[in-house]
Amino acid sequence: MHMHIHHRMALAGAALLLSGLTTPLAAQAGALAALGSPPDPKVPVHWDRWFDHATIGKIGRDLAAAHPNRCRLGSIGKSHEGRDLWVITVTNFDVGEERKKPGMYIDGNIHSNEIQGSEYSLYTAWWLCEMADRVPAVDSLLDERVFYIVPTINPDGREHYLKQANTASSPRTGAVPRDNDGDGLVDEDIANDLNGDGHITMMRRRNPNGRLVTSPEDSRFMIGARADQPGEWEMLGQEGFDQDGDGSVNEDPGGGYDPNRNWPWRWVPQYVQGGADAYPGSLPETRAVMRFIIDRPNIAGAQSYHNSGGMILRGPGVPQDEYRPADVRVYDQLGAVGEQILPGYRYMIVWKDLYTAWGGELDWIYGARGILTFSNELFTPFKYFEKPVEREAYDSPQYRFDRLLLMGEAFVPWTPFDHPQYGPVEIGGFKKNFGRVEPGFMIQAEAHRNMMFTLYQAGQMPLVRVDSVMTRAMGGGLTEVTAIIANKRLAPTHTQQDVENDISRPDWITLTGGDVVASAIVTNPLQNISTEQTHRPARVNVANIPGMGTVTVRWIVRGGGPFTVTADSPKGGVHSARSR
Amino acid sequence: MIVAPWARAARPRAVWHVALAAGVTALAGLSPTAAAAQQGASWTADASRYHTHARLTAALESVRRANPSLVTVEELARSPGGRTVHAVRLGAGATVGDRPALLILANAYGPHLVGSEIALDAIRRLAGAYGRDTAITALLDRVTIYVLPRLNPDAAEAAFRRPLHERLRNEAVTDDDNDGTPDDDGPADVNGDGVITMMRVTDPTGDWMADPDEPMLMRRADRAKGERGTHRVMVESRDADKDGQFAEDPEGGTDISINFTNGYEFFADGAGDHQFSADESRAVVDFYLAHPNIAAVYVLGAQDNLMRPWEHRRVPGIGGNPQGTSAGGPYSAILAEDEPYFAEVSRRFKATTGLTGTPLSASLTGDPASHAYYDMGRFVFASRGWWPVAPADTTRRAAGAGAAAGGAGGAAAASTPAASGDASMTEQRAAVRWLRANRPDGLIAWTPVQHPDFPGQTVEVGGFHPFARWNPPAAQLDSVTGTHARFIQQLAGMLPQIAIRDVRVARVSDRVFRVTAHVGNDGYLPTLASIGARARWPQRVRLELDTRGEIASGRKIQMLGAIAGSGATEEVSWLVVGDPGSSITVRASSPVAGTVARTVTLQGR
Repeated sequence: MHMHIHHRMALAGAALLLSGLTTPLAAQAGALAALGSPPDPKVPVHWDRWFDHATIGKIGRDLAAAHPNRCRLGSIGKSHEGRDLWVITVTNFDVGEERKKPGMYIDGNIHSNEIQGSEYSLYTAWWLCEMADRVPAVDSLLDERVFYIVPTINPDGREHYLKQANTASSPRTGAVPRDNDGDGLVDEDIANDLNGDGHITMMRRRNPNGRLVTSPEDSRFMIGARADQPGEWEMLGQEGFDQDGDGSVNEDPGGGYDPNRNWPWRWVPQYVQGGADAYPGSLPETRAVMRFIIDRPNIAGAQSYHNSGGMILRGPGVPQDEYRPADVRVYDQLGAVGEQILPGYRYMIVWKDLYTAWGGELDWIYGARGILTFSNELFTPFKYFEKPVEREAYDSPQYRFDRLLLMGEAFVPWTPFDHPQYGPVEIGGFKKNFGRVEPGFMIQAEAHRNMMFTLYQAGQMPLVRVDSVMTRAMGGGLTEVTAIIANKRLAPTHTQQDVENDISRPDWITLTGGDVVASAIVTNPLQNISTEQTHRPARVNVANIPGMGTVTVRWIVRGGGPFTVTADSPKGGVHSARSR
Repeated sequence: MIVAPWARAARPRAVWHVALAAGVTALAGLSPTAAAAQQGASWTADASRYHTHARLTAALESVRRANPSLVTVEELARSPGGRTVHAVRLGAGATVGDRPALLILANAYGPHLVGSEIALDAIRRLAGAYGRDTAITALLDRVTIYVLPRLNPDAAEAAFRRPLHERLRNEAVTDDDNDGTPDDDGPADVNGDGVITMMRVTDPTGDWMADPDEPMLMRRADRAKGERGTHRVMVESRDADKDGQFAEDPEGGTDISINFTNGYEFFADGAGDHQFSADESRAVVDFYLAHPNIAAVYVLGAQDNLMRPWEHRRVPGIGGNPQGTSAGGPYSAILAEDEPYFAEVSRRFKATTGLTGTPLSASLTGDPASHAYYDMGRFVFASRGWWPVAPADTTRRAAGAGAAAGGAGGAAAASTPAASGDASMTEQRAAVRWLRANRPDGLIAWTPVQHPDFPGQTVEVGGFHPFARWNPPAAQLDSVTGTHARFIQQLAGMLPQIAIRDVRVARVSDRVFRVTAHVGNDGYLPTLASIGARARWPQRVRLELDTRGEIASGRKIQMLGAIAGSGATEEVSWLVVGDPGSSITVRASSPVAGTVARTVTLQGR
């Protein structure tokens, strides 16, 4: 591998010599390569904007075309409105079988407005492809693991968020129409861009009896009047009017469910968990992701990107669910490293540290499939000034950041408007791409840090190796063959959740090259205590190989030799070794 | 996929006959009376009377063709075995798709063929009586009945091919034992009698023993009571994949009757990957969403809440928080306000059908019945349709009411025998006694068999004949289905029915009028169950005031909460500023209760 890199650099140097620029450190004309970034990407991407569905597909296609042995673009299904749910598969396709390598599943954008998970996961695919053959650790990762990257599992909602007038919080739902107000009509009273400026912002109205005033620090900022002073304004909610004439404004917006409460594990009806929708998997996007994961038992780790708040979340989402203790130890280790990689982010448990959430995706992936799963809540106001946010009376970090670093671009100034129900009002407020997502100059840094956490998790997925195969003649043509099977990484081949519910098949440790008459798992090699496998002895079923642990397997074989021992772990890969 | 139905009937008939002949000759210790009964009760007749999928398809098509303006049949889904899940709509007139409806679900539980028979018979009887019977004609002019007669067609088909086996799963291929080879170790007809029963191995290390009250039955030894295990018990099978386990990876995938949401058990045998992972069950919940006019549901299957109605229980939720909230978690019992309706409909069911006894109700774990209530927010009534009752009880019933209970009835299960064991054992003992007296070929005595996996050990095969505990003999089928058809008619008559009693106009001032409307429900069931008022999917009554004037007080459109049945009335009023002499219209509509409108003139003193 090192040889390979030197070779490439030599070629680059030769090219530079020809062009008359002779700096050995430079990998690109006119620049010194910055560490951690591909200096000469085959697919140039500007990581300072938010991509629509077509562009995500194009970047995926370009990557697959530029890196045919590292990257493939596929689709896991169609959204409600018929958009492809792109999956970018990244691995070294020249080494091993994709479906037999431990898999890391990454998705983003389950909530329509929580967009940057798409860029971060797309960045991950791009970075892995472009850094291959450059950093040995990247090559190991791609030799040993496969990444399944679905940049958006909610492309309809993404498209709506990007291309229509919206707030930072709308839409959260996907595009399947629902009757939110129970009148038998669907999506008949949505928020409206009244002044046609392309944004849904807020409405305020002058009212001597209102309780709000403008801040002396920033006149755009509405604050409460002091308790003993009169106010000047009242707030009238989001921009919109009563479309269906029922007297309520904006009471039946588009969609009307929460795609991240639509998953089967601990799913409960809508009246217990808002947004649950009619049944788990009622959404085509949910079903597509489930099918994809169920069909790939090699997936051993998962990340589902959300925003915002700076959290490295794990389940459970509800208090009476329980993550199994052996799994919690692995989660805790991964989470602790994540907090170092991601300043301003905290490792948290959904129900305990955030809120109760039934039927979330991360709980299904762990609970039903036994896969270690995180959801990072991307971006945090900590990032505005690289320090925790404190409450202020007359200003806020958002307004200050907008003034000092964005020159006011984030805010639509208050502008008069004659409202059909409310009369003279003013419309204004922050744009949708402020508050929950970072500005352009911060995107790549955030993407990189979050990616590095997922790469750490991917690297710590199980990796099974046949460590040694020892033989001992037993007389009478019998040989005792003992193999030590090691898991070289932090995560077990089967989580405790997986083992206890028999979700994925056991690791198969198979001996070939002789007639196996008996086999056993040596539970205590020092005291030579073992448990016989009475049926089908050649293929020994091992329920789990713990992280950084070993399992010792023994056979009694008649004749044959040398013997080959193959460890075939659904989530830990396949490896063989031969006896002498 | 409609095939010539009757051409196929011959084969299963023969199968049943051969199968039972073998079983019956093996049955030992029959009393003379039982032996006599055996002559009369032949499974041959049953096989030709129950409907294979092909025959069911043909029967539905036939009733549709005979009543084209009354009956439609659609394909709702396809099973993995390629069989259609049918949806039948029964009702007359142009508004048939948009008015109060009863939904009938049957045969999600594979062996429960009688559910399909009841559903089919109800369609035939009601359709046949339209235009002849005044009450039924009026009923089908007012309400719609949807029938999904066979939700698990793959599993049900196992009743019609050899070896006969109470199969629960559809024909999806799954690797239940995670050994890399799907469907490689299922039940097997070890003794070659054409039926799959149970198998017991004499083994002092086993946990099972013969039930002292009914020695044909095996039950777990209670070591705390000093009972010793004498046997191992398993489904009749061979260890086909040689892993030391028996029938742990049977053919097939999902048991539709446990693939719904409420109480769903992940990882249970046959439960599927998740709730509604099977197309057959997902089609049901999608059917609800497409039909907001479903006001009540009748489920024929393994659950019962008509002989023993569901009751409200006050159960604290998680951390002492109230159930039905995010903090407290889902409900584990019906709501207090709904309880009287379950009780009353149960009372009416018993009165109409004459059925007695307390058939065991399977647990509410992913079943279609509790889904209808807790998820879809509908009143749901569930029946096993038919169940065997111990002869002693039958005698008592005969001496008493003598109702035409179609043999399914029996007296009072309140008087369950004070025997040891759980409710399931009690029911099994009753089934043994009933079968011995009424159809001895429903029992197969334990018979020794040579078993390759147990060399040198005593292995016997025997137990209940497949389907005998779930389905009545053919001779009783008409009576059983007719009984339920009467109840289905009655239940369809209980659906809510919206009414506007009056719209009064009072003049407040010049152009100012107070409009007061009374909106009522003339059906029996409320326009919303209490659970329905919480659940999102049942719709409220939408009340709209149409006027060219200005509504000064009150809302142009409003959604009304539950209006109780039996004539209960809600009052709504508006202040309208408009021209005297102009007309206004009050319109009340609900998918489950119908639409009514009343137009009045703004005038008065």
